[in-house]
Amino acid sequence: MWKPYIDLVLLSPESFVSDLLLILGIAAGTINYTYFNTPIKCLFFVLVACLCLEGVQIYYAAHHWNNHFLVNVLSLVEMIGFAAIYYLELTGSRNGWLIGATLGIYLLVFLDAFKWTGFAEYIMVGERLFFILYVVLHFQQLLFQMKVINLFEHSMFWVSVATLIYATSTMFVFLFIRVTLRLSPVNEDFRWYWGFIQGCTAIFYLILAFSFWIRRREAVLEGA
Amino acid sequence: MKLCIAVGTAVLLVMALFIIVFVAYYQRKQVQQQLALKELQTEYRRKLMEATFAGQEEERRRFARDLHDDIGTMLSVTRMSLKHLERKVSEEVRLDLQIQKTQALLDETMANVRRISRDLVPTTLERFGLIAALEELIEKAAEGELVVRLQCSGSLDTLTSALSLMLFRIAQELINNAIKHAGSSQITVQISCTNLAVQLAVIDNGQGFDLDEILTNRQGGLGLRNIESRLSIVEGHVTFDVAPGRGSRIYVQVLLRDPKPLPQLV
Repeated sequence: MWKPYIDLVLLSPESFVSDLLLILGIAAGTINYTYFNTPIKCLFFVLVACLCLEGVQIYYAAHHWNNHFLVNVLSLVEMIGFAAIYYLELTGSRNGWLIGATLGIYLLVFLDAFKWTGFAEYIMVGERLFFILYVVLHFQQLLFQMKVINLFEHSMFWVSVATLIYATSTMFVFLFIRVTLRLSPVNEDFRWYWGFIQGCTAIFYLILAFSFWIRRREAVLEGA
Repeated sequence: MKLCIAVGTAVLLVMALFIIVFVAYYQRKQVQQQLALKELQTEYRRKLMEATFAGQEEERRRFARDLHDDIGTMLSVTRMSLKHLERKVSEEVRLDLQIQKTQALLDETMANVRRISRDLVPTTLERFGLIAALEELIEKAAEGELVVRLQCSGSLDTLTSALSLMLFRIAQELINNAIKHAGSSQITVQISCTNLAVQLAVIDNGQGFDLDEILTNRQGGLGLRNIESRLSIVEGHVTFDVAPGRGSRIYVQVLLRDPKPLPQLV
């Protein structure tokens, strides 16, 4: 029963590092859940959804079934989730409209570029571009409103840091997907690019897990 | 191609890190500037308050001087002139009576002018110090069944004239409140001074009051707010141990360690 999974881990151990850190993030979220505000709660549920999708992906991979479309669906889940997080976090109708418009554009691109049997580069690149835009809007709000005294003790700042690093580090690999991820899985280059993406994703989840602990501290300080 | 992707990714990552560092640095700087501005505003408000109270005292002084020197003198002259007139028309009994009535009115007016003048500027405080001024204040306040006591400990000689005047005004306000609003029959004023702080307490057995109600009411509580304003100039604070239906205990403390300089009012 477990053999296909063990074989999968032995074949591509780097793929599971990010999953382990995703579990770590969800564990951190579960422990600190009572301290969360609405955007961080939303982030927690996005991570839970991501874990579920990762589980399905592993199941498909273990049975040697095509799971490329699940990567595209994961992008959709992340995009909707992060649009919701930043919609809740950002104030002002302009930001609301921008987030709504970007989500609309993304959905149109998703419907047009979705592939069942391969990674859809436009979906991936579009998602990352919009993530960068959301982070820029969030930073702009932080600098203009000046409500936060210490950014390093502000959970949403760390969420934005994680998102920005994740989006910028993986964008080029997905932009040139024809020479990076459409190679054979046993190809050395493919393994390097895949490992790089997994490493960046692992850092992303690690910082998100850290932001959950920061949120706890923030909530305690707010209550004090 | 591999190199292009690596360079592109590296450039984007560096840009992202730069943005993160810039935002963190710029935000910290802005916060520091805001805090500095806030501090400046607080200092400005404190100075403004100082100037307001100094101006108030100066105006009282000028008004008292004018009352005493000008109106008081004029009244004395009028009284002498009336006396002179009385001697001239003493044969007419009805006129004499009218003059005596006017004289009595003038005497009363002169006494009132002297009293108002003394109340405006506590000359006893300037001449004999805080304890003497408080004793005089208590003596004036104690009327009929009202008992007012003063308890002192420690030497008050080290207090500056401005601080003494401030404490006197606060005591004046609190005693006034205890008599007028609380209907107290017993009031105790305690003052003590150490090297570190001077403490003033006014304790009464009156009907008390609801502090929150008084402070949220814009029309009332002016005296209490005035006390807080006076104490905001120095390192001082007031504590209200009050509730409706029981006596009040109001404690004032001013720290003397590295006190902020007060403008010389006297």
